[in-house]
Amino acid sequence: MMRPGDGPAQGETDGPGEDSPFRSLTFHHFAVATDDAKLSSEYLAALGYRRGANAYDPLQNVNLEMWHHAGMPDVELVWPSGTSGPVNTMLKKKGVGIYHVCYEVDDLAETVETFRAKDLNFLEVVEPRPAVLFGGRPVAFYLFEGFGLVELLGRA
Amino acid sequence: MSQQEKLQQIFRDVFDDPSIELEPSMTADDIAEWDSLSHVRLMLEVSKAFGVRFSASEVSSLTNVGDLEALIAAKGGA
Repeated sequence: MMRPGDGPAQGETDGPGEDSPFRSLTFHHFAVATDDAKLSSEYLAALGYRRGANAYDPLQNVNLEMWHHAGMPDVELVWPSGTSGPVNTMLKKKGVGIYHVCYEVDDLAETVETFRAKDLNFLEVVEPRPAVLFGGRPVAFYLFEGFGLVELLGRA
Repeated sequence: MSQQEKLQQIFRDVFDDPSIELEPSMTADDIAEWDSLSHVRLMLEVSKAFGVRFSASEVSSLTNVGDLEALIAAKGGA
C-alpha cells in the first residue's frame, strides 16, 4: 500500500510553469452534493459565503447554486430535483460531500489531449455542452482514476 | 485470457462479487450494485483494461453486457 510521501517527487508536483501544457488550467470551484440545500446554505452563509447564480440542469435533473467568498474557493451546491439520477445515487451511497472539482481552461479539447499525453486514465462522463450555470460556456465532465469527477469549464 | 473472461474479472472486481457469471443479456437489473455511479467506474476500468476510449454517449447508451462486448470488439479492444 502506498504511504504518504510516496509517488512523484516534490519538484514534479509544482504548479504549471510558463511552458506547462496545463498553463491555462486554473481552479474554479468545487461542488458539494447535498440532500438538504437549506442546511448546506446555512453552513456556507455562516462561513461568510454569499449566494450567487442558480439554475436547473435538466440533463442531470439537479438544481445548481454558486456560492462566493472573498477569501475561499467558490462552492457549487448540487441537489436533486427528483428521485432519480447520479446525484441521488451518490447521496444514497456516500451522503453529503464533495461531488466534483472544476477547472477553468482556454480550450477543452486541447486540455483533454494534454491529460491523455500525461497517460492519465479517465473517462468522458458528460460530453462538452453549454453550461446552464455559466452563461452557456462549454463544459464537460470526466472521471479520473485515482481522483474522481472533474469538470472542465471553457473560458469562452 | 479471453475477452469475456477479462470482462468478467472486471465486473467481479468493480462490484466486489466473485460469483458474477457474465451473460450477453445481463443488464443493470441483474447486478444489485450496478447503478449510474458504478457504471462509470466500470467503464473506466474497462477502458483501461482493453486500451480503448469511450465517449459519454457510448457510455450512457449501453443496454446490456452484449452491447458492451460488441463495443469493445468494434474498437479493437485487446
